[in-house]
Amino acid sequence: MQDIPRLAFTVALELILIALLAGMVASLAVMLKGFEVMRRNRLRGLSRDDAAILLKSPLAPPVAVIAIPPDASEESRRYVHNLVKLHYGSHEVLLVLDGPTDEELAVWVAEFHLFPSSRASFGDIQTSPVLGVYESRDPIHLMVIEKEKGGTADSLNVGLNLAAAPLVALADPSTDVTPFALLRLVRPFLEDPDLTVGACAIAPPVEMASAVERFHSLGCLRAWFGRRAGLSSWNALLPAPGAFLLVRRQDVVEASGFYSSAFEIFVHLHSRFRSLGRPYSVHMVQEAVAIQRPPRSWGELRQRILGVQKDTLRAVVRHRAVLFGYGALGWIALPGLVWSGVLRPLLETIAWLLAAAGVPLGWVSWPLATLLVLCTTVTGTLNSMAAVVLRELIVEKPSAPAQMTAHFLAAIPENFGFGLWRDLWLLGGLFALGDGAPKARSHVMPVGSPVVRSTQ
Amino acid sequence: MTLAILSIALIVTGLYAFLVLYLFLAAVIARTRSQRQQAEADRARPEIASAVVDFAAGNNDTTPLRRYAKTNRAVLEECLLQHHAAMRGESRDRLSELALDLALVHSWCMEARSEDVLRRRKALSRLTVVGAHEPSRRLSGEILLKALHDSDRECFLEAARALVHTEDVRAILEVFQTAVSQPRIVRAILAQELRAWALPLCEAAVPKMLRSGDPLLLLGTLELLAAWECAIPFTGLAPLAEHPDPAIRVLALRVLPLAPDAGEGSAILLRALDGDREDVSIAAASAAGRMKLESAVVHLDRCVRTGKVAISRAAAAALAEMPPLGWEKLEDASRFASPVAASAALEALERARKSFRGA
Repeated sequence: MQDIPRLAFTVALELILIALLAGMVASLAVMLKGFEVMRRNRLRGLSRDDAAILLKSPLAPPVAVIAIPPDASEESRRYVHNLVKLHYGSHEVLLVLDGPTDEELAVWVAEFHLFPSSRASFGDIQTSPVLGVYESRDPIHLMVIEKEKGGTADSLNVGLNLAAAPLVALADPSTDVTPFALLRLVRPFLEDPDLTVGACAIAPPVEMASAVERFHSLGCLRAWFGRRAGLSSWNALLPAPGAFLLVRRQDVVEASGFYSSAFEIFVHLHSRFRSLGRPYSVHMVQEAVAIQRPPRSWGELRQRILGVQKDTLRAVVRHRAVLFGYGALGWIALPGLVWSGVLRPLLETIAWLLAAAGVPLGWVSWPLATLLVLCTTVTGTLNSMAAVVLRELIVEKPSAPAQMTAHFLAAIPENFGFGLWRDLWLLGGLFALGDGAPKARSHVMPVGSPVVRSTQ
Repeated sequence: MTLAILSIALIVTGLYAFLVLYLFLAAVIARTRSQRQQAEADRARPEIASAVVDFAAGNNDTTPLRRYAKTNRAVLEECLLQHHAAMRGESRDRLSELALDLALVHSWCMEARSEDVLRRRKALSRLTVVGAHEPSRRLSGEILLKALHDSDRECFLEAARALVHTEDVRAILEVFQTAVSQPRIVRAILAQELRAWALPLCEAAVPKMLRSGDPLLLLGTLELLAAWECAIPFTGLAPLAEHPDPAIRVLALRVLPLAPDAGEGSAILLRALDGDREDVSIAAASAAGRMKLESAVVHLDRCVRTGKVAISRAAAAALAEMPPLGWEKLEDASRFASPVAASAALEALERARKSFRGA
């Protein structure tokens, strides 16, 4: 009878470890699928650079790029300058300022020589009031929209309402896009205009100096192979963090606009098209035209990890009806997100806590302890190392051997030390999920209302 | 139980670790080797480039070039193609002759028949470069025509470009007829190349395609005409603006202002402006603006006041192209119409005045 608690403890821990091992094997399988897709794409890839031809082609559809900088800092201004300088035949940048202070607005006015425009916000999506619309005196296609604070989704919807182009591009402020990014991203829309609903471009960072940058890069690599390439083979591609995205405006409008984030709209479009039984495709662009800048501090890394968790879980909660239905979207993509954002960190933490409690009681035998290390850190390390090696096998310009080795070996501290911290961050993040959650859209501004204010 | 699970996990993880480590070492070794090869090629490149330039400038001694063709063939091909693209006239012809003399063209022709898609693409792109050289063309002509039916789109594009470079009208007609049934991206890429041949194409291939009645061919042809954005010496486009397929109507309206008989289609254009479909009305408004069709002003004014954002904007932009009557209508709409119409009118008017002042 005395052995019953010990037996229950051992069985519970074993079950958790088996679940963790199965999860790791599943992530590896999706990653390998992603590798296969990317290898095939690379072989089928382009032999020539057609960007200059597409730049001049009137067949390339106009694009509205929505930019939502977090502030008016130099980095934010550089982000907008980069978008304005994108090489494309017909594109307009819609810079949405979400509740800027007078000082911030003045900085933007001075930076781009803005003057009040007669364009008003009319559209199909309800948003918080637009206070002013400005244009630049410079010969650039930039429209600046000043609005009351309403959050990211509200800002995206304001941009969507003002966009006159059939395609809408969304660029993350933390991502560097190359000048030819739009020309690459628009290709799927020219290859298959009827079926293509969206396209997504992101590549993991190449230059890494510190541990923070390496750990961030390893996370990006896993998402690159798994969430992006792996899922694209089942047409269930979900954008990786920081991705540069292109979607058809009409589809987003018909989906009632943005609810929480750009990520959520992709889940929405997938579920909408699948539920309507309409054929569609979401493409990934393999070339490194958008690269997320690595975080500069542990704090920034934590913020990014929690931001991704928040975006994905909000999308999953909103589209929970899709779970375990609609093919790969409901059976692989969304459960995978719940696994990596909630279940894995939770199970890993419980396993380590149980082990810590079991050691003084003498309930943790050496095989159990070895199994714990094997199913958590060792498999995690191997998955990260595999991602590094697989990247080297498919990229056009492989890294130098020294850099590759440093990146490969960074997988060890990532899983043997940082992994536990990351799990704790993610568990903490679950309690903060409700903060700033999108509210049911109230009819704040009647559709078709003119601009409220136009400041000089 | 734990021991059994551990044994299985150890075996699986051990194999996995071995595989990862093996792949890592293989990647490091391959990278180191390719770096060494690259360094060797970089060392040889200036010498080879200099020999190529010397030959292009008139030096007839091909001994060093023949040696490089055996020892550093890839670098020699690269240097030759690079300088071929940069040169014109006799120097360029000499380099084309050199490619033929060193049997490079022969080997490209062989590789263009390869089963390997990547080799085929590379060979076809190289044949594009020497496409204008008559003796090389005699060797590659049939291969290129066959490659127009290649299942790989990139191979098709390379072959199409190479054939356009041959300046052989029959081959160009073939390229056009194949391109119209290909995806839009192909037309976007080939449009500029085919534009120079608009006249012979409008005499023979365009009428044939437009009369085919096949919606796919009609769409493809109209898209190519729209992409050319040049005057089209072809009449009879107007009836297509009333085609049952709205996508064809939109494209026909887009191309109509480029045709010599555009005026004859004005009645059709006005009907399209007043039609039910938003995309067709927008295309009609844009065409009316480009044609500065004064008879459309009243219809455009009505479109501005519809209250539909996209139509209002398109119609306002068209009216802005037609001062003074169009501007008067816009001023009126900006004062008395609904907020949507007023905003569209004001925006178009401001843009027109701004560009007028700029001009």
